[in-house]
Amino acid sequence: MIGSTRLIGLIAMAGALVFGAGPISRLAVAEDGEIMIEAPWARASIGTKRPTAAYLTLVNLGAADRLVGVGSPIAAHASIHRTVRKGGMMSMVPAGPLDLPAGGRIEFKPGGLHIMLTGLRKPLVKGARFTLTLRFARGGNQQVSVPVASPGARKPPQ
Amino acid sequence: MGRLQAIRIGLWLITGIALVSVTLAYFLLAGGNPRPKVMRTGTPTIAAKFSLIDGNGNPVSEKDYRGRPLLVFFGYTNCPDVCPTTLSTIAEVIDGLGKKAEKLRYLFITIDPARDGPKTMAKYTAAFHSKIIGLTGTPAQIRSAASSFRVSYKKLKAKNTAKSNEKGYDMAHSTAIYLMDSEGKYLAHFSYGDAPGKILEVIRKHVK
Repeated sequence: MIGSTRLIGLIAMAGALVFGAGPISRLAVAEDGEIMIEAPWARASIGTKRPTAAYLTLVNLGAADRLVGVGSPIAAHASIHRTVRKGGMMSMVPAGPLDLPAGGRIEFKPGGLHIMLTGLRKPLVKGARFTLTLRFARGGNQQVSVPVASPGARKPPQ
Repeated sequence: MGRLQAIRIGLWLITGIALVSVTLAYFLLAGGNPRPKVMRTGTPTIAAKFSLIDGNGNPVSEKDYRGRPLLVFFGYTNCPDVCPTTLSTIAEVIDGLGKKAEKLRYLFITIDPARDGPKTMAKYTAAFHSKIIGLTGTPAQIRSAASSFRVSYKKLKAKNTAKSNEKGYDMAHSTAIYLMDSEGKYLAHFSYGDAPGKILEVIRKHVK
């Protein structure tokens, strides 16, 4: 099982390199899972007291799984949120856990799903990286290195 | 008193009573069924009208910006998704305007004055663009400013709030960006997610 998972990961990495899908840093492959974590990024924070958000895309190449939680050593709290529109206003609601069906894809992006990071232990500075842990029901804990973009970024850093 | 004079007085009396009755009836009926005022004029009744506090703690009102078209957005600094996205859109619009950017003023008004003081607003807006002006105020000042733009907002109850948020609450709020003319009158508004290019096009049309 692990062998085939690694193989899928290798094929995905090779594919990304061969077809020029961008630098390898933008494509993280969960080591022991069949879930690809693509293009992770976060916005630089304004100090440590304001929350910030991280975004990424999950692609499930294996069997159905579920994202049950998130965490990071740089934040006291990390949670899955969704921005919703209701009665002419926008707000955020807790959104986890998220089902990830076989072949499914979940995109976290501004104005939609995001990973909210609060209680930052240090400011997130543009150009830095931090570790984000995604907890899957089947796939277990998967770590991904997240590059920090500017506070006003709307897409992953190039 | 002759008969004719009696008739004349009688006629005057009848005329007087009739006049008073008609006048009374008019006021009573009109008072009971006031005619609806026509409020619709073709443009939304949105106007820039506010007394707020700037990043240095100084009072400001719409009069301080007379002669300058305004781009106005309401939000709060504990907002990790919608507000940074919109502020970065505004920052891109400012850069896209080039020299014309000097003609406008760009206001970010908090709807969470309990947590967003003048210094917080100044520091927050500076992270997006030096030309964005962060404004706060008393809860009453914020209510009044928001109402002049027809902006709604509310503090969310704990059950709808991420437990993890600082001091434990989030806000729901209108997310439109308003373009106001140099007299503080409504010109156009943009919705969350509108591309900077679209906003630029409208501003260039209105601001010569």
